[in-house]
This record gives sequence, C-alpha cells and structure tokens, in this order.
Amino acid sequence: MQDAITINGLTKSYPGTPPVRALKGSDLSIRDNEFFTLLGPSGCGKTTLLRLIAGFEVPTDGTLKLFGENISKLPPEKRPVNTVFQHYSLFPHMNVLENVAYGLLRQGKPDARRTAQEMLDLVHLGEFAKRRPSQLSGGQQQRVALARALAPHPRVLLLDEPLSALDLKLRQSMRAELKRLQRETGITFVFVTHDQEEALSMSDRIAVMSQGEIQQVAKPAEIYEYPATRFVAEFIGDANFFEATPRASGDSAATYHVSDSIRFAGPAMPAKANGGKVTVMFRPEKARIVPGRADGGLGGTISDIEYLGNQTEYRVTLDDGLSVAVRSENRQDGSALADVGSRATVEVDPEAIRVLVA
Amino acid sequence: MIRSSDRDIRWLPGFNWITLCFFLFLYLPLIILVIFSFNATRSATVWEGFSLQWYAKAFSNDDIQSAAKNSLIIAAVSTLFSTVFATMAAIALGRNREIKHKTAFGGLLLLPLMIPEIVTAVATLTFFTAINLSWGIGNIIIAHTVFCIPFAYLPIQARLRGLDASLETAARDLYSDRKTTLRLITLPLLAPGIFSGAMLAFIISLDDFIITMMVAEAGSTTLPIYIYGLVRTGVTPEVNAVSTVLLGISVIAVLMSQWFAKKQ
Ligand SMILES: Nc1ncnc2c1ncn2[C@@H]1O[C@H](COP(=O)(O)OP(=O)(O)OP(=O)(O)O)[C@@H](O)[C@H]1O
Ligand SMILES: [Mg+2]
Repeated sequence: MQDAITINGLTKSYPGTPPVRALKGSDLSIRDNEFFTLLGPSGCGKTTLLRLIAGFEVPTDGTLKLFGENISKLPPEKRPVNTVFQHYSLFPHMNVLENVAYGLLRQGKPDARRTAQEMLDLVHLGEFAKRRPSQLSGGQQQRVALARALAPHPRVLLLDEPLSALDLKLRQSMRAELKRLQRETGITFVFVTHDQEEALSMSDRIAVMSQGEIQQVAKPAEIYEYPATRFVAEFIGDANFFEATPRASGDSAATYHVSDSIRFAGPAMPAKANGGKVTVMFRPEKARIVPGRADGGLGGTISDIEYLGNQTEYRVTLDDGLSVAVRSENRQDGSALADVGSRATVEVDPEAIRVLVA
Repeated sequence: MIRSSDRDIRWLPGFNWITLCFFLFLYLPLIILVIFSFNATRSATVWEGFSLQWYAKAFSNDDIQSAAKNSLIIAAVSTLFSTVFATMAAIALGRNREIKHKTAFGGLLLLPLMIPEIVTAVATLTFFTAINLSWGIGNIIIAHTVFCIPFAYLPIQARLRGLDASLETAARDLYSDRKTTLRLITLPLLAPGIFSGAMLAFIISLDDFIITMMVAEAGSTTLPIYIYGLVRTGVTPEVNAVSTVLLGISVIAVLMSQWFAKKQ
C-alpha cells in the first residue's frame, strides 16, 4: 500500500541571526490509515513539521509527498490535509454548524450543511449546532475543531497537541474518542504531543524527535523496549545508564565492563559500536532487588525508598559509588522488601540489557 | 472629625477640585452654547424662552446649506478612501511576514498625528500649488484623506493585533484562497475596528479647520470655515445652532466609534 506521507531530506530554517534550523533534513514515511505520533520536547520542531505538511510554511529544502504526489509547492487550500489547531481556532463570528460546514462549502460540496450536522453528531455535539464557539466549554470547542477538520474528509488529519488545553479527565476520555474517530473514518492521523503517556497509549507508530532531527520511528512497545538512542531512552520512561567497554563473548552475547566490579552480561555488541565505548541501559522495573548478599548480582546499599502506589522504587548505591534505580511490584500489604541503609543485591537479566551507541 | 478619605492613603488633597474645575471649563461653554441656540431672542447672554427659530433660519440659509453639503461630501468621500487605505496598510503591516522594518513603517504612518497641523496645511498648500492642482473640493478631499488615514488606522490596527492569525491559517487550511479568507474571515472580524476607524476619520474631516482653510478655494467653503466667517461679525444664535448640530454629529460619531471598538 502507498504511504500517506513521504518526506525526504525535509529542512526548515527560520530567518534570523543565526537562522533557526527547526528541521534538519528529516526522512519519514507515514502509512495510510495509521495513527502516527510526533513526540518530542518543546522546541524540537514538531509544529514546524506539521505546518510544512499542511502548507503553512515553505520548506527550505527537501521533498514532501502525499500519496506519491509531490505537494511541496501546493498552497494549503489545495492540499487534501486538514489541521486541528492547538487552541482550536474556531471562527468566532460563525456558529458551530457554520464552522463545521466551512471547509465543505469552500470545496463546493453539495449537502454541506447536512454533512456538517452528521459530523457534529459523530462528535456528540448535534444539539449545539446553533451556538457560538464562545458559548462552549473547552472540551466541546475541541470536538467542534475536530468535526470541522474531519468534515471535508481529508486524506490526512494533522493534530497539534489538541489535548494539551484540557484537564486530565477530559484528556483521557478524548484519547479514546480520537482513536475511535480515527478507526471510524479511516483517515491517517498525524498527532503531535510532548506527553509520552499519550503517545504510547494512542499511537500505531511514534516518531521521537529531538532538536530538529528524528531519532527513532517505531511502534510504542519498540520505542520503550528498544530505544535507538540515549535521548529516546531518557525521554520515554526512566532508565539506568552506564558507560561501558564491550568484550565479546560469543556471536550473540557480550559482557560490558563498567568498572572492575560492575559488569553486565548482555546482547552482542552493535556493529556501529566498532569496539569502542557504549552506553548500557536497563529500565528500573526490569531489574530485581534481593535483600542481603547474593551471588552474581551487583552488591550495594539501599539509599532511598520511594513508594509509588503500585510499585516501590529502590535507589541502590553500588559498592563502587554508582547508583541504580530498581522498581518492584508491591507486596500485598505494601511493605518494602528492605529498609534504607540495608544491604541489597541488584539482579539484571541479560535480556533486559540494551546497548546504545548514540 | 476624621473623614474616611483622610484615612485613604491613595487620596491626594486638592486633586478632586482641580479635576472638577477642568470639567467646568471644558463643558460649561459648550452647555451655554447649546442652551442659547434654543433662545427665543437674539441675545447670547439672557435666556428669554425656548424656540427652534435659529435652527429653522440656519437650515434655510443657502450659504449654510451649501457649506454643509460640501462638508458632508468631503467627510464621506475622504472617510471612504482613508478607511480603505488604512485597512490595507494595517493588514499589510500586520500580516505580511516579508515586510521588513514594520515598526518603522507603523510609526511613520502615525507620525502625522504629531506633526503640527499648520505645518501639514502649509506643506499641502505649497504642494498643490507646485503641481498646479485645482480640483475644487477635490483638493480638500485629497488633503483630508491623507490627514485622516492615521486616525482610521489606529482602531483597525488595534483590532487586527487582537485577532488570532491562526484563524486565517485555519481558513486557508479549509480550502479558502487568499481572497476568500480576506472576505469571509479577516474583514468580518476586522469590521468593528474598520467602522470605528471610519467614524473617527469622519469627524476629523468634518471638524477640520486649519488644513481646509489653507487648501479651500473659492466656492468650496465647509461648515467650520463658514462658522468662522460668521463669528467674525459677532456670535449669533444662528451660529450656536449650526455649532450645536456639528457638535451633535461629532458626539454621535464618537459614541459609535467607541461602541464599535468595544464590540466583540
Ligand atoms: N516563525 C518562527 N520564526 C523563528 N523561529 C521559529 C518560528 N517557529 C518556530 N521557531 C523555532 O523553531 C524551533 C522549532 O519550533 P516548533 O514550534 O516546531 O517546536 P515544537 O516542537 O512544536 O515545540 P512545542 O512543543 O513547544 O510546541 C524552535 O526553536 C522555535 O523557536
Ligand atoms: Mg508546537
């Protein structure tokens, strides 16, 4: 099947001294009918990428294809792409129905008003058709914005942090609503967020961005379990990192020496590593904590215990000074496995170890 | 006795009275003018009963009629032109990302507000003479149009500044080209500012004296100039009546301007 969006070497520099390089030659393919998320910290270029796809900005370099057709030169009104804006941007001088019918009318579609009414029903706002946007709550305005962008049935829907202005409860129910709309309409969604939880729970695939570059594109579980770079591993979830020197110990395994007393058995070293230093990482919940001394693990002293509700996080200061975090499920009565100041051993399975080069 | 105002640390002695004096000096003459325009006799100092005779007289005076007609035509046409220019300038400076030195241009556009009017008047007259322009009230219309642009520009620019540019982006996203977006989104949302600016331009033109005095040719007398001519031979209730009408129009225009400016 043809990809919905293909970008090649897409670059955007905003004028300034020096120019702001908001997007540095990105390559990306977004599949048809997928819920695709752009995730990254503030200022990494998510909005810029979205605005380039929508046609609000002109790329400095690179190509942008929509279903195989180069659209780099098309003005926004000629692109079968619609946007849900962060602050909704509903037309204040039109009522809700007129807002939703706006795109359809401009396209010269017959039955614009009826289609708009159907769209409003789809987002459960059928009875609000005659109201002004200012007479709606934030969540309702959000859904009008969705209906307005979906009504012309674009081939791709762009959503720029659409949930960020809503409160927690509403945000959670809107997540499900968005997923439902995406399934029911079959439209490709490109969703921007800096909320990792939102990204992990909603997306078919995620692109993690940092400073104008795409770090990794993968399914949510893969992003979390097999981060491609240290940035991705740090941005999504928590992790322990160690600088280490790899020593091969077979085709599919290696040992990673962090210090004389700390070494991890892990997967084979990546080809990119070239025998040099690498970063070894594991997630706190993938390690185990055993009270007292045990063979084979990393010995240390518990320096801090944090009760998290479903889990407890133990911070262990290893014997040579490094510190690791370990999370374990709580016992039935919620009591800790060991006390602060007591000896403990941290065990990490080789399968939990990830080796990062960048 | 301690009054509550003595305790109020924000209260400053004497300020209230001085402010009151200001109101008296400003409004008492106006009130007297309006009252005596309804006086039954010629006296401008002694009240002798209510009558509308001076209004009737003023309205039937051919000279006043033609001056009023000139004034209205000039004000209407220069309001139209200056508002159109001001709207275009505001949108250009407020929306076009390519234009450099926007602050400088915006400042230059508003500078005429600070140039002494007499200087503008003399300069305009010299310029018209130099290019040999002699279009009767056309001359006044050109001068007024230019002079009114900054007044019309102020509320329009303020309105545009408060207008979220992403609304126009949203319209473009929803299949409207530039023209359609201007027609369906920008202008309707800008309308209160435009009307407000137009009202301001209208009264500025209607009340203008100095520039008009300079550039007016014979036969293109406006109401303020006519009134000035009458006053030189003594203030009559007729003058009061015409002035009251002018005052009324101005007040209505200002109120409408304010009302539009506040409109959502
Ligand atoms: N119009 C502009 N002119 C100059 N620089 C800009 C412009 N728009 C964005 N930038 C810069 O480009 C970079 C990327 O901005 P962008 O808005 O794409 O970030 P973002 O990932 O959407 O961030 P956020 O999560 O805060 O919305 C930032 O450094 C920003 O300052
Ligand atoms: Mg953004």
